[in-house]
Amino acid sequence: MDRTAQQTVWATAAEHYRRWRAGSPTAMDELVRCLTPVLWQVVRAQRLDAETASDVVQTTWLALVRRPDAVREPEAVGSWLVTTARREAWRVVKAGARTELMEELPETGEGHSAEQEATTRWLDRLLWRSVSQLSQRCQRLLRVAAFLDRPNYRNLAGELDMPVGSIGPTRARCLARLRTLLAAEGVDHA
Amino acid sequence: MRALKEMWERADPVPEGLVDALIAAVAAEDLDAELLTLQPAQLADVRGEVAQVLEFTSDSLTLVVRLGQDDDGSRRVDGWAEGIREVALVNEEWSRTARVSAAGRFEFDKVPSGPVRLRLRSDEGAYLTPGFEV
Repeated sequence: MDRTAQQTVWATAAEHYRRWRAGSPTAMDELVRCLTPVLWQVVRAQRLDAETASDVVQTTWLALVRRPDAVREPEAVGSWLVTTARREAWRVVKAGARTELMEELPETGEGHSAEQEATTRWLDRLLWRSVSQLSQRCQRLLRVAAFLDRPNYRNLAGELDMPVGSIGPTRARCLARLRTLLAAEGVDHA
Repeated sequence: MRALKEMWERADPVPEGLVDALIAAVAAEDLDAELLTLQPAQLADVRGEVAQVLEFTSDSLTLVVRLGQDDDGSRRVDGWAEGIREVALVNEEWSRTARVSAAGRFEFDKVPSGPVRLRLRSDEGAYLTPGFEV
């Protein structure tokens, strides 16, 4: 995982949150911009459809604004939001919210050179197809873990219904299985 | 893991406009929204079933809300107010947004029973209803 970039997101979030608590009018906007992409992935890992997922992400942000005392240390704002989003997503799934299956890789926009685009698309398609063949638990674990750093990723156990000690080994097994699937497609992915 | 992360970011990005909508919703939550006043409730007989109609007013907005039930017994909230752009049904634990038609109508179906409030935004400002039971 790209640890440096990951840590920057959490550090930036903590800084925005600190400024918001200090009364900066724009800091919350920046915090929303900075962490919504992570929350989106965490919520979508529960297979909620886009509309429900949007509502869950909104509920998460409103919970933060309504209960500013819930987060004592600015450094904890990222993990608090992720945990809140995951629990809320889980709650609406249990309450019978619409979920959707992992379908074909959606068409993405343009922007790169055709050649680069083709290579990227090919790799994405391959990854997407291989991930789809993993168990649901593996798919969810890998998707959430890909967007979190290690400390956050430790408290996944409860929501994923796994003993704390087995998260690491399960993640390793899921990755190993994914590598096997990719190797079968002729990709030697480091 | 990085390849996976990038694949998901490309394959399933945050929908366009969501971040701006969230910023607006969070800002509205921070704002001093104008509190609407509940007018005396009426009971209306609609399709043989008794629905509760609530009317909320302020100097600049009138909101009519109908609390009803769908055929499967789930609760629904229909509303209308002229000039509104955004509406959210909120309680302590969750919030939901609904589309507002050009005529200012909106609806929420499958609403869990309990105390809720409506938050609205028009070009004039933000509004909040007192709590009511669904």
